[in-house]
Amino acid sequence: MSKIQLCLTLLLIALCPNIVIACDSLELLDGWVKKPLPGTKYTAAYFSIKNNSHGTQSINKFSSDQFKKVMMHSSSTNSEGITKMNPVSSLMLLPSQILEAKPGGIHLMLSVKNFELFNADQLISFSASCGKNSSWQFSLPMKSP
Amino acid sequence: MILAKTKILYIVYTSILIIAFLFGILISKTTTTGLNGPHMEGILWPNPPMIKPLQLNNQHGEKFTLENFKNTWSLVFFGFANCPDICPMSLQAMTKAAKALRAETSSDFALQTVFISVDPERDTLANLTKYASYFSKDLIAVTGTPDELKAAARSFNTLFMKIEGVGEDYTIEHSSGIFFIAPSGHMASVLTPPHNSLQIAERFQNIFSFYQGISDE
Repeated sequence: MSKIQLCLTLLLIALCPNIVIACDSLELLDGWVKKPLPGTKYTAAYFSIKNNSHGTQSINKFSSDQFKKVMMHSSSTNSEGITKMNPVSSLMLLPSQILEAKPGGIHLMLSVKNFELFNADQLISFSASCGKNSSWQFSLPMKSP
Repeated sequence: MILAKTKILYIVYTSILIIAFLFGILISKTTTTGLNGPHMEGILWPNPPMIKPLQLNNQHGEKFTLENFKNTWSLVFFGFANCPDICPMSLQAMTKAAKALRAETSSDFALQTVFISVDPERDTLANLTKYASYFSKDLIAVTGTPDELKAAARSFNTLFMKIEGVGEDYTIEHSSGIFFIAPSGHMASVLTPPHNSLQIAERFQNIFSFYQGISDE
């Protein structure tokens, strides 16, 4: 490897943010789960998460014992006014970044197990998975939309 | 002699330029004073298209056709009950705006809110009854066969598309605009998301005033 190549490699390494494969320093700022509406099998959860670390954090999966399935989705509307919902494979948070999952954008789509089980103000527990051995537990209140 | 000729040419060219400039100002003034409607945002068609015939069923199993759009203003939203994100937020904003508008206006003013479900597979009439009543007792939820729904979407110049998933985990891409239909059956405007009730009510009042102005002329 020439000196120039070595310098370029070192420069690239220095410029790349550190990817931390752990849920360290993630902070829940706000959030809520929409109470499943009558006649539906799906609902959504929204939140604001801050990455308090100096490295990039990546969330690969969310789960909740109170729901059959939790999927990361992103809604978007094209120039013709057609709204699409696309699956998201992971959420990346840069150092100090606040990620806002809100209506019409990134959200968790929740597949309801049993509609009758839910009450307004009930706390829903979630687990966010950031790597093979790292997870982060948090709770969100259920609210009527 | 040559100097005098150059002077004359200079005066002629300058005069032509001044006349052209003044003529341009005159033209621009006469062409911009024609449209003095209210401040409008979003889409307002100069020649509003008429919605085409459609055949659907409401949540009570009654026929819902083009006739149901006559003699009343309508706010219309396409979606499906299992849409977890944009649909409930939009329906809530739409029904809230309609309630406020009905409260503010005279008793002879008619405004209906219509939810067209493009998911007849999961949105049975029983499910639609439960779903619609959550938002408002006045929300009319309608659906039909896939062919009837395609015709309804064409009637509003929009479309929807089922995106297959695993089992019941499919989704549907659909218009998320709120359509404003005049009592004549003309599509007056469409409001694009994100929706909030204040914005819908304000937009409706602008369109309503605009249409009242046209009918008074």
